[in-house]
Amino acid sequence: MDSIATAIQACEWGSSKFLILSSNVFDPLIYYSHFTAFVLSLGLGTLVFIRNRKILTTRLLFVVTVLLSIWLFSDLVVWATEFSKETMFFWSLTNLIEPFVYAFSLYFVYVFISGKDLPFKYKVAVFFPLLITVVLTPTKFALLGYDLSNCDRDAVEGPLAYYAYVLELIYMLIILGLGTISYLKKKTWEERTQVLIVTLGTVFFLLSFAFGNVIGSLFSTATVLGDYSWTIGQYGLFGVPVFVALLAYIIVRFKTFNIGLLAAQALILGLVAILGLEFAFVRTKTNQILVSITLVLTGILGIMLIRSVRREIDQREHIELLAKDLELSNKQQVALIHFITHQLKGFVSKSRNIFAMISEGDYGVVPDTMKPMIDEGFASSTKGAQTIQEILNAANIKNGKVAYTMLPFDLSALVASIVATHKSSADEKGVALTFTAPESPVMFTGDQTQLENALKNLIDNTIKYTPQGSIKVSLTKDEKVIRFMTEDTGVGISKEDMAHLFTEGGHGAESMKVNVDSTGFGLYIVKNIIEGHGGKVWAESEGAGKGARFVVELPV
Amino acid sequence: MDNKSKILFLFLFTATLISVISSYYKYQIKENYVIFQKEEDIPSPLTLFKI
Repeated sequence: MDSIATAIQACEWGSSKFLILSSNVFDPLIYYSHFTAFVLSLGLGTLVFIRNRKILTTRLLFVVTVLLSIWLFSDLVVWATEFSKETMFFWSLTNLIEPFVYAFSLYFVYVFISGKDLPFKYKVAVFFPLLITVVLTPTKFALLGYDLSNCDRDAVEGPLAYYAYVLELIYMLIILGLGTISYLKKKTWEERTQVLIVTLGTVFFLLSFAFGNVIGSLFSTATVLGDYSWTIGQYGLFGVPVFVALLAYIIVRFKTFNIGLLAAQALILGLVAILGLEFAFVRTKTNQILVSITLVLTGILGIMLIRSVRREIDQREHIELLAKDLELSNKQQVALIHFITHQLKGFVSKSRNIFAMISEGDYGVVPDTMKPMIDEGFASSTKGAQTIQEILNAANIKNGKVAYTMLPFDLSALVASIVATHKSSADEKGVALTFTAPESPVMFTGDQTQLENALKNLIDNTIKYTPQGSIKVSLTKDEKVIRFMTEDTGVGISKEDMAHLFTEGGHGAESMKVNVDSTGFGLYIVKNIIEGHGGKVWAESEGAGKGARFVVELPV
Repeated sequence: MDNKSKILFLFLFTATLISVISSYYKYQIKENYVIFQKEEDIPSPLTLFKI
């Protein structure tokens, strides 16, 4: 034993503080790589867990980050300590925990991809092989002893370590296989992306985690890298928090607002961790004071940043909630209007029928003095029924309840019949209504009833807004389109009115002076019907009092 | 998570805890391990399987 004590003394190892701070750690990079991975991974895992603790994937990610943190701490002790007993215990701990990180990562990937818990028999298959590691960890199969030969402060690994490496490789291959099969099975692009990110994220996380050990173990005896291979290996650990962050992001991706807060908290945690580490290296009082000031300032600014992000998130979530309420209210309002107009249409139609029957003498001869009132009542009820029908049509179009029955018909004959129907109302105003069309039929495949409504609406509008002069209705056809056009010498359209001409309830200020009964839904319905047939409609006017042109183009 | 799974994880956790405590007792308290002072004394991991 004396010879061992002499040998240890000859190695001239530094003494460690708090297990992990010592000059035995030959490169400060090791502190940065371990602390950054430790703080950020555990911080992110905990934050995600606190926010969604009922979700199994967040619980599993939390378990992985906790195991990872224990591993990182133990590994750091192994790097720092000068006591062989501490090296032996913490080395055994890292070897015990490492395959658990892989097993829980596999469990995490399965639950994330399948959306359900791992069946019991698979749990046994995944975790039972770990029992061998657990049982044999305190035995010689795990660690053969302590290597003092080159003052390396290393434990000599037994066969159990190699068993764990093989197990880790198998877990990694299963994750890749699981991800590949699931990727091929998923049908949508979004589902495939999720599978790809979570699989590759986990694999890269495990590779970053294993990188240090693999590089160190494989190349430490090589002449090219030597002991420097352990330093290079530390760079891998910097990738660990990145991939943990990626996995955390994937879990909370549907709560996009929370991710901002999570990112801010992770950023501040990382900054404070890195600055805190400076205390391990600074030696002078001045530097210690400067680092302390920077740390306090970072802490204060960090808290302010987190509070501000949280405030913004609260506001945005509140707005989102209000928008949802508004959407619901709108839906309820539309349903109510639909119900009311439907009921009203029944009453008005009934009155119209009564006026029609009285006028036609079904209840006896109508006295001459009463006839004008009956006719007025009939006209008024007819107009009322049409107005209600227009509102109902607009509501149906808006709710997507209109279905088009597409059949071929002669559009020229249809327009001719509409013009003929409206000729009398134009004549009454002294407006000349003319119609020109090709001699041969203009065949078009569409919903004749709906198109009749649309074109009737346009011609009716033109007559209403043309107090005097002429209206020219024309129908032309070329190789690509059928063009329907009305040209009038009416009141025209101002620039202000033009902007919301085809919008829902969009009647202009000028038009209201001419047509006080306008519902504002007419042109909105026209636009929807024409677009429902793959066509387009627009208006042209040089301004108020300068007439207007309405053009409809339908595809051949 | 079903009860069978809970029992499995509880069993695994307990076994791991016992394993950690045993290792702590063996290495930290009893200091029961071999220290190799010479490189040639370090055995191969497969030595344990030799009969």
